[in-house]
Amino acid sequence: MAENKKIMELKSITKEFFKNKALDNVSIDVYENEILAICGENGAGKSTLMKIVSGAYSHKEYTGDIYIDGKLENFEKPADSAAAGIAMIYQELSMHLDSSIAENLFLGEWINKHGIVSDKKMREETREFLKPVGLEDMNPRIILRNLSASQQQLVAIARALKKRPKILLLDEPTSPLTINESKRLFLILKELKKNGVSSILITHKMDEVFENADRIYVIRDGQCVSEHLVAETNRDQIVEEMVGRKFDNYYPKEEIPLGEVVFEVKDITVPHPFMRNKNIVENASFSLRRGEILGIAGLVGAGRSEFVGGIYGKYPRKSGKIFLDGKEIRIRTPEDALRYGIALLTEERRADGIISGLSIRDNITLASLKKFSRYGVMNNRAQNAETEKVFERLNIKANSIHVPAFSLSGGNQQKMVIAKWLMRDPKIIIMDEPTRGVDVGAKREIYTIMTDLVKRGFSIVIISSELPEIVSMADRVIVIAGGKITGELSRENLSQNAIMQLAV
Amino acid sequence: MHIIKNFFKTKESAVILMFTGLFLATSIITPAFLSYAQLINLFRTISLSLFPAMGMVFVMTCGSIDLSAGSVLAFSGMICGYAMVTWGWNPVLAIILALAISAVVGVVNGFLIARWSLTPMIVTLGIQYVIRGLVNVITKGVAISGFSEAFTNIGQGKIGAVPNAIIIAVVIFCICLFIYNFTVFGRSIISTGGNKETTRLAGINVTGYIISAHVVCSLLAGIAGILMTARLGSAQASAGSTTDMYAIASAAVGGTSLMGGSGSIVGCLFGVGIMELITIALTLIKVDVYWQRTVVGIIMIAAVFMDIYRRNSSQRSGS
Repeated sequence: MAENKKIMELKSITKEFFKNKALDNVSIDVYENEILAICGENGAGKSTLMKIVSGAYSHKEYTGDIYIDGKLENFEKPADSAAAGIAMIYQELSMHLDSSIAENLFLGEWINKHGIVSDKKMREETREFLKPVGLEDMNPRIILRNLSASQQQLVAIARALKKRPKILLLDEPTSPLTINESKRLFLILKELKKNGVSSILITHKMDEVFENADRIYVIRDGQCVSEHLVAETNRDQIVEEMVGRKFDNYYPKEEIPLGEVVFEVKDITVPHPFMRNKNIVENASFSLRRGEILGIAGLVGAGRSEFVGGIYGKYPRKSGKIFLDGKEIRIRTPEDALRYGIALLTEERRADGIISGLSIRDNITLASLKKFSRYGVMNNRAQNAETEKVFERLNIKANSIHVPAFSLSGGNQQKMVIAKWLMRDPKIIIMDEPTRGVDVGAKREIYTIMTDLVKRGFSIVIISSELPEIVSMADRVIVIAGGKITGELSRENLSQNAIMQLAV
Repeated sequence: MHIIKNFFKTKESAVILMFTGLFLATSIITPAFLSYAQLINLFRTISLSLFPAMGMVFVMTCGSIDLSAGSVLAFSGMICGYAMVTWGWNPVLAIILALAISAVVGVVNGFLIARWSLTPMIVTLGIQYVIRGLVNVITKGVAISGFSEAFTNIGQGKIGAVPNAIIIAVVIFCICLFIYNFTVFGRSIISTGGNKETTRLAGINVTGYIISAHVVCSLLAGIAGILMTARLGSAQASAGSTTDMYAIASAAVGGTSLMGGSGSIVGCLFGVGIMELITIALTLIKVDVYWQRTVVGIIMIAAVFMDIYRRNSSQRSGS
């Protein structure tokens, strides 16, 4: 690669969130005509890095420099980054689902004459722009919502390519795609590489990296750990560097004798939130024993969160039966679930886990207002006393229980959410990605809390994309792919490999 | 020292300081302001405007808004007057009917917003037109008057030196303050406005609380309508035509967030205070009446600006 010229240089990038370093002195070079992979666990800082490169964070919010073609660039906003030739494809779709393909492609850059937009011209040109992604036969008038997730993703890529970027950033681009569609995407990337477009690929799918990338950077805990040419390294080495620690003492798993079956769900079907006549989860079942940690694994978008959300009453269910201690129960709303002692720690902490403007105490007591009130009047003293207890027990780091939730780091916010559910005294806790966006120290504390809970007779369901975590903590794992349960693994048969075989 | 420091940390500090400043300034410029008549006049106008403004604090806190408060105010006063004059009802029954109808309007508002997820601004704007239309249909634009003394006494009478209206306002204020700060209801609507989905997942019936907040708001507007009718001795079809915006402005000046999730009843009191004080002060210092709205608008923006400044500086210090 040395003969190629550097198209982008990142120098000593450091970014802090509330004094937690998300990125610590990271330097990365990107050469012309290459596919560069950036590997790292969830929360290692990959997405933060991408946001910096794409201009989502202004240059005032971090330290370090970005050079493009040897020129220092100070991005204020995403448009600056786009002008410098960088295009970003986000992990989550960032498209207008209720607009047509043509409208999405030309968003913000409508073809116009003196301010009057020409829809006809845009529709004509849309076909041209859809060619590289193989959608040229699509009617440009089709509303995006009616396309499959993978087609939507391809339109997003077409939009990025339309600006003729020099560098394409792709954050987990294949998570909504099928295997064939993924292959097609990488063919496109390789084609682009020949035409002078470099791609930066963020993914934790190792197969994709080794089949398609030229070079790899490994990021761990916000630091750049190593740089390899793909030809000179192997999968095991990269995984080891990504994880970077010994497994045995990191996960405080204790095998405890399991009790009777306490909770069972049968044939849960959850309709797709956007597409009619389609189910996102179909006929999924599991049972859970006292003191057990049951893992639910699967790729992002496989329907894991919708499955547990359907059980809890977060999403409407089409069908399915739920049994608690052998008796059938009806759960239609979260209120019902909590009454039966079932709690759900959701995946998106900011969206539906915390109330950022309220104090830690108000967040922790939120699910237990009845417990702390009499005739509808809140008892402040009891709230403070009980909150202090669980605050100490879970070791939440904050000045007091009265500071607002937004001032906490991700890990402490997560412990606060766990505290909220513990305050309610549930029997079963469903944890959806409990360690997402949580730093390494807090992760270990969360695992310790889980172990402690099952020892006290709780049962836990854990959903996780981090395979090491699920392999180490779970007693048993069920795997979901495409909304259906594809297999179950007991602790003896549990391995990352076995899970991946079932998940793809 | 400690108390002063804590005072500046409260979200009401900006609006209280501003009210105090304006009050002192007015007293110095026009000493006539510090007479019994002037002060009672100030407090009486504050007490009438306080009801819908407190109602607005409840709906705004849970992330909604109510543009129909002014119409409900007129409707309630009109129903009450109509029942007494046309049907010869006893004042107590007429008041109960007026409040019950106000509450029903609140249920309709809340139901459309919370259950069917319609945009609060549009729903309540529609209801505002519907109710104002009904008022005009029933009164045909003519004011209703000729009430018994027992009824007009509610708005015009006094206990000792203090007008009844002020006493009623103080009582309702204390009740609202208590409900907002110390009850499950208060905590639930604050949480709902802070993050609806988080609150729902915590097993709280957010639909029910949003409806209830709207009922509270409409009831408070209804009370204001009855008091105003009693005070004027007539029910006007055009009553409360500026109430909605005035109430929203007072609540916002008092530190209630338009995005929901935080608010203050005490702040609202001083917010109303600032709005009414400016009007009275401008009249006293003989500012042309046509300039008054402009000045009120500027002061409003200044108050909200102070609040944002305070909030940002407290976020930076992390407390």
